[in-house]
Formats: sequence, structure tokens, C-alpha cells
Amino acid sequence: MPSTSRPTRRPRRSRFAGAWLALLLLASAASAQTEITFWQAWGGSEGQAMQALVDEFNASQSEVRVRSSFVPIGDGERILASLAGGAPADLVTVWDWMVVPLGYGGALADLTADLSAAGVGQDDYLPGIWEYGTYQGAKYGVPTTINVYAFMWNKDVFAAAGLDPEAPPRTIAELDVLTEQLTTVDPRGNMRRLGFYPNVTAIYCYAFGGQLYDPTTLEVTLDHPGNVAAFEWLAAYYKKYDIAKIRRFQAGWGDMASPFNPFYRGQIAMQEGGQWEVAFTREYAPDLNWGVTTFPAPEGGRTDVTPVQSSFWVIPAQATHKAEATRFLLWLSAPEQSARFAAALANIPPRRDALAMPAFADTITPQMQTYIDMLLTGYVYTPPGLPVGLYLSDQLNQALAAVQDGTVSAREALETAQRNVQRELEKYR
Amino acid sequence: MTRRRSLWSVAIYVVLVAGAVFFLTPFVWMISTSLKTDAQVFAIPPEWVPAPVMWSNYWRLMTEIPFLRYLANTVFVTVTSVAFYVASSAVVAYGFSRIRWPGREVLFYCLLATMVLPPQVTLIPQFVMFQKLGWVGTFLPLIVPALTGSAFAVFLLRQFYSAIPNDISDSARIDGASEWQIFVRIVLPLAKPALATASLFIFIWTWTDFLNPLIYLTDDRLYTLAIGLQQLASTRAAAWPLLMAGSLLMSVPIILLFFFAQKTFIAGVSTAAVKG
Repeated sequence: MPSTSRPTRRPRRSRFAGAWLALLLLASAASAQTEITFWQAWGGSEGQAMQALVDEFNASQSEVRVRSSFVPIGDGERILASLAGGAPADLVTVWDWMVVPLGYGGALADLTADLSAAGVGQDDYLPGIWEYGTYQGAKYGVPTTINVYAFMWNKDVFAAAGLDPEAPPRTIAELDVLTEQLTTVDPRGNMRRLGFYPNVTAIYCYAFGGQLYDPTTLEVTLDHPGNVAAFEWLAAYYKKYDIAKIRRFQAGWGDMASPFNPFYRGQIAMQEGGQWEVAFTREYAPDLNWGVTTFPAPEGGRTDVTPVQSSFWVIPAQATHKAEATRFLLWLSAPEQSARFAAALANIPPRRDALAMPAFADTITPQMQTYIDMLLTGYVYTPPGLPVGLYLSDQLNQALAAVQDGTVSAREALETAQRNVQRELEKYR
Repeated sequence: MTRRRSLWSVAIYVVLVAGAVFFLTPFVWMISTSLKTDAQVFAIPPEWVPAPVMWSNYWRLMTEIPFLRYLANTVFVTVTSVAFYVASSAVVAYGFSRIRWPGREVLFYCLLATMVLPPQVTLIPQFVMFQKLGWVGTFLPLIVPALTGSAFAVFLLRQFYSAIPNDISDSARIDGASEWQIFVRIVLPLAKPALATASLFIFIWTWTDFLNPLIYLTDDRLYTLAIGLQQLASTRAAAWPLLMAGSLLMSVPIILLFFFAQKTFIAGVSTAAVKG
């Protein structure tokens, strides 16, 4: 009996050994896989689109596993606390104004070497986008998708007022005339329609030939003569249409992402609007007859101002798996993925090649094409990439508030803002 | 006279009903929106009655985000925090009101001063502390601090304890009761309304707290409802029916709690206010 039992036991033992070996191999393969954490900031359908990309990356290879968590950026509380505490995720989504202050402060990894090693450079991005998120030669982040502003007008309101609906203003003088023609006030003096509503002040600074800072010398230039001229024009607008009346009128405006958006309801005839309006109007105002074009400019001013905003992906300096995070970031920001994510967000991909990818190209409408053309050929300006970028924007808003209230002249308001920002910037030198 | 009085009470009821309707409107709108289609949410003119009634929104809410997991997390954090806060604050408040010791008043004012500190000031040092303890990414930073009491609850309970006559404690002392026995057997049962009030306030704060879970919970499997519901909103637009369904379900425990504890709650607030 023993002799017969031995042959039967041997294979069993070897089967065990085989299974054990397979398990060991599996375990070692699993341990070779590095898990990285990714804080992504999109909820709803946008979040699902991002998760689909993450899943695809995870399925495409076995060395890196991305674990994504939804972390709303908000004012950056979570991100700042975790960076200060030294416990950041490996890849984090932040607003553009956070990139340079955090990077310059040493909290973010400089991606310059990794990007250039991967063969990614300025030419791969749309004009003006590569420099975005860069400070003194260090590249601290990669833009997720791009938002662009352009000039919108309501064609039906134009037609109802007896104006040519296909003739938006091309100069500031024309804009002034149209604003007056399209603004209506009821017998009790309450505003019924605002011909034009300027919301993003910086656009007009650039249109008047000014600039908030010099991107080459990194000097703050808030008191630039172009900015002063823009502020003087804005001051005249607020004086003419009465800021108090506008504020009262504004109180009755509905949510931007709803059919109660004042532009959709004809309460504003002309305004600035981002490319998301293409998707928004389709959903909330399908019958709206609107046009989009470049911003009007004064004689001798800039006729091709293209304001750009974005959120960024950054790798914290203290991230545990920088190499793996970079590998995922390179994949995520490659043209194919960039095109798909931008399409899901109704934004524009920052990568030049992504524009032609079917995932994005198939979604381009004539209106969206206007935004893309502006990006390709216009004078792109982004929020100031300075360690004091947010403070600069605050100061610009404060200067505008002072001008709106008529308490100081445009020049005085901007000179004060210039001094304050300059003083703040000196601390970083 | 009777007629004038009844007219007066009718007038009062009219005002009360009008007030109730006014305050209920947003709540009714929330219920109505939670049962609408995405398109009906923005119908012009606004429609109050959902047609068709989308009960499926509640099912979608459960499937689009792990709602029940977030609910369980929220219940765990809230119940533990309330228990810890109330238990610790009750003891501390006793020390501040029923026992005389040198420096008591000064320390009490120091405690009150902590209420003035905005949470943003302590945010980063606290995070660094919890990080060094290895607690970030767990529920510990949300519940363990509750064991050190809440300045607000200590203040509320101290005011209430101070209103209980000392004679009661003195007679218990003569009967041989220890300080702990006086606290547990005499003062605590008398302070039920104040304990209920403190519990309710802490419950609402913890249940709806957004900032602390956002900062300390790094794994979205541990998220509470306040953060979890954010996933229903994209960067520019929100799934309003689902958000309203989620918000409604999130408000239910608070409403139920208030209905059940209403009497005790109001007694607690008025006692603390009048006798303080």
C-alpha cells in the first residue's frame, strides 16, 4: 500500500507547490504595483468622465495603480493643510492662482525636467499656454482644460431694437453707442435691460493696450497708461448708468447655470462669456439666438484679447511617488485623453494635437470654433503668474470698486493698487 | 370682551400661520424639486407640483454615489462626537460651577476665549499635529477632540448647574455622598434639558460639518454626507433633483430629533437664557 500511495501523493504535493509558487508570483506582482493617490476636483458627469480615464489607465498597465478621490478645491483649505502637514496626495488638482505661490514657496515639484525628458514642450501646447503656471523658468503644473472668454451678443434683442443682429460692436465707440441704444429703463427709473455688462475688468485693460504685469520682466504694471484709459472708460460707464441702479438690477438676476441667467432672459444684451456657454445655452436656453466674437477695442488698442483660465494638475514636492505620478500625469495630459476630458467638460483641451482628435473635434460647433480661433491666433493672457497673483487681482477689484463709487480717479486708484502689490512682491525678492 | 379676545387670537394665528408658511416654503420647494425631472426644475413659470413624480431620483441618489456608506459614516462620527462632547463637557462644567477652587474664574474665561478664535487660525497647526500622530485619513481627528469638551457646551451646562440650589448638594454631602455621586445622581438628572440642548446643537454642527471631514478624510470611502453630496455637482452645474433628495434625507434626522426633543430643547434654551 505505501508504495502505491507515494506516486499519488507526489503529484498532489507538486500541485500544491505549483499553486504556492503562482500565489507567490501574484503577490510579488501585486507588491511591484505602486498605488498613487490622485485628488480630482470634478463631481457629477465630469467626475464620471475622469473616473473612466483613471480606470482606463489602471487597466492599461500593471505597474502603477491610481486611486482617485473627489476633493473639491474650494479655497484650497484641504490642499494647503495637507501641504503644510507634509501629507499630500501624489497628484493634486488646484486653481491656477495657487500654482505659482505654492510652487515658488517650495511646495510643488518642478516638472520642467520630466516634461522635457518625455519630449513634451511649448509647441505641443496652444499658444501662450506653456508659460501658464511657469515662474522664473520653473514649470509647476500642467493645465487640466482651458476656459476662454469672448464677446457675446443677443441677436434677438438687437433685432427687436431695430439694429442689425449680425453687426456686433468692433470698437469701444460702437460698443458705447449700442449700449445706450439697448439699455432700457422703466418709467419709475428701474433698469429693465442693460445694453452691456462688463464683468471681467482685466479684459478691458488689455483691450486698451495695457497689461497687469510684464510676463518677461515679471514687474507689476497696474498703473500702465492702457489700464488707466480702460478704468477711465469704465468709470464713465458706471457714472452714466448709475452703479446703484445696476446693483439693484443685478440683485434680480438668476443663477448662471439656469434658464434664469440674465443674458438668456434678455436682461443683458452684450457681455463676456466663456466657451461653456455653448453647452449651457444648449441646455438652458435652446431657443436663444446669440453670437460670439472677439472683444471690441479702442482705436490703436488690442483687437485680439483672449482671456484664458484653467485649473492645474500639480505634483507636491513631498509626494511619495513622484515618478509614478508623473507617468500618470503624462498619460492624462496626452492629446487623446486631453481631448476626451475637455469634451466632457465643454472646455478646450490645452494640447494642440487634441483639437483634431475626434473625441473633441466632433463636438466643435461654429460658436466653439470662434473660441478656438481666438486661442490659436489671439493675444492670450492668463491670470498673473506671480507669487502675489491673487493679491494683485484683489487690488484690481478694489481699485475698480473705488472708481465705481466715484471716490477717486482711475489713475489714483490704480497707482494705489500698484504701490500695494509692488510692496507685497518685494517680500518675495 | 370675549369677541375681542377671539378676534385677537384669530389675528395671532393668522400671523403665525403666515410665518410658518413663509419659513416652510424653501423646505417644500426642496421636497418638490427632489421629485422633479431635470427639465422641470427650471420650468418658467416655476412649477410646485412635480409631474411626473420621479421617485426614481431617490434610487438614482443611492446608486450614483455610495449614499448609504456616507450616511453610516456620518452617523458614526456624529453619534460618537455628541456622546464624547456631552460627557466631557458635563464633567468640566461641574468643576467650573459646583466646586470652588483657586483660579477657577480665570480658567473659565480662558475657556470662553477659545470660542472667539476663528477655526481657520488653528486649522494648519491642528492638521500638522494630527498628521504627526498618524491620524489623518481616519475618523480620529473628528471624534477624539470631542473628549476634551466643547467650550459652548461647558458654558451652557455651567449656567444651568449654577441655577441648581447648593442646598441640594449640601444635604447630599451630609448624607455622605461623594462629589462624583452628587454629580451623577443629583445634578445630572436635573440638568437633562441642558444636556439635551447641548446634544442637539452639537449634533447639528457635526452632522452638517463640511470643513473638518474635508480636511481630515483623505479616502473617499470614509466621506461624510456633507462632502459626499458635493459629488452631485459638476464644476458649473448641479444635478438639482438628486442634490435636493440628498439634502432632504440629510435633514430628516435633524427634524425628527427636534420633534422628539422639542420640549426638553426649549426648556433647556430658556433656562440657560433666563437663569444664566
